[in-house]
Amino acid sequence: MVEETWEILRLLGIDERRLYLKWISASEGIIFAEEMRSFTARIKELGPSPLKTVAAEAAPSEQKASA
Amino acid sequence: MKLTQRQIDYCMECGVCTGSCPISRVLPSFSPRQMIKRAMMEPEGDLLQSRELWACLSCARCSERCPVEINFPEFNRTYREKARRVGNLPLESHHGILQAVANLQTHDIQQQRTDWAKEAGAFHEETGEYFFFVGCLPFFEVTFRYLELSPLDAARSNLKLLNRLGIEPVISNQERCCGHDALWSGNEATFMELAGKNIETIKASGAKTVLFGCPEGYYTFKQYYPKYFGELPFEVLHMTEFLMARLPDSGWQFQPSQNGRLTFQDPCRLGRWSGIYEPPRELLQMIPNSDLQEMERNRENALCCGTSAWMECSSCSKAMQMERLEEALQTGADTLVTACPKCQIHLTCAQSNTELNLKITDLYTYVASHLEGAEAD
Repeated sequence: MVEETWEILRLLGIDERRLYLKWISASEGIIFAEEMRSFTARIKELGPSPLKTVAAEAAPSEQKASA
Repeated sequence: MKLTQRQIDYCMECGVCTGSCPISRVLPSFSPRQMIKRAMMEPEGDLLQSRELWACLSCARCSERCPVEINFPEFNRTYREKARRVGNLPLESHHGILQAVANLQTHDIQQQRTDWAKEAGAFHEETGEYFFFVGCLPFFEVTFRYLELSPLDAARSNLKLLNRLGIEPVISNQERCCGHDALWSGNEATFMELAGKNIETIKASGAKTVLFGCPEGYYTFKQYYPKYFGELPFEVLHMTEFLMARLPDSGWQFQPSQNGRLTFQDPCRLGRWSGIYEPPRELLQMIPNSDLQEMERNRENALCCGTSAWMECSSCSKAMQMERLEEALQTGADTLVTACPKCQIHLTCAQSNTELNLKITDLYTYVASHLEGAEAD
């Protein structure tokens, strides 16, 4: 299902590298740590999400709508 | 929504809505009439916490038949807004992916959603006289691949038909979901964001006419956009209306149908909500040897495909869908044609776990595939 989600992200113009899937066993602590380090490094390299700034601006109106 | 004294008096003595409701037939506890009564007795009462508010399909069979013209689906929709505020939320289908897509589209994103069109025909990306509103099809294409369906075929076929008429419409990467589902899920804020962005995009394209294959997009633009944004600076047309205005003089030749008997599923937004019953039928009958046989419930009495706004899919939806598939087969048809991607998806899904073998197809693909010289395109 993650392939479809990547495809939807591409349609939306959101960099699909922001979504990552890796199956790791509970016993593979070192692999988990390595994967997390490389994934966070990648996200830092990609920089802030294009949704972030607009999301912050949109928040007050959402609050208003739900009040 | 405010009811007049006359509507209230008549309403309490009637019950045609509940008698007509396809949900009430499957779930006897669901009653539009009782819901109106509860709302009158206690406008902010337990109705706001009820699950019934989310069960209505807004198929409009009740309001079509109501003798005092109470628009129950609209009444129910306004209650959904209030219900959401007290934390009563719908159950979203397909893991909420399509709601997530609509919400992300309220942001300032640069979509890449027109690749299909580059392969299917000629179009403009920025400006032009006609704007073809594709709707959510590129997202349905991915989401419903598991049903072995290609919802984009409808868009490809429409583009081919338009090209054949000498029209190269605008198909835009800036297009958003029309907001139909957000609106009917009691999420007006999301609807407003999406609608505002669509109006801006179409204005910027300079288009004078916006064409819709999808009945929901069409109805939402036609009915709700002017309600919230005032008169639109462009004309809104459904493809069936547009094609039937152009085709009789086009000189187009169609290959005779090899499909055997056909039947037509009226989408709620095209039929009861927009009153467009004949154009899709006339289109089908332009194809020689088309043996169109009506289901027992057709036009204003047509049965809804069982779910709306990607929420609350249930055993009730399934029961309705099975009833409809069997009704279609009783006509002796081997092909069911519909003009709505959601009807196609829902009925295909229902059929997928059965022995039934009805070919479920969309109107535009059916028409385009019978056009003489279609293979040359």
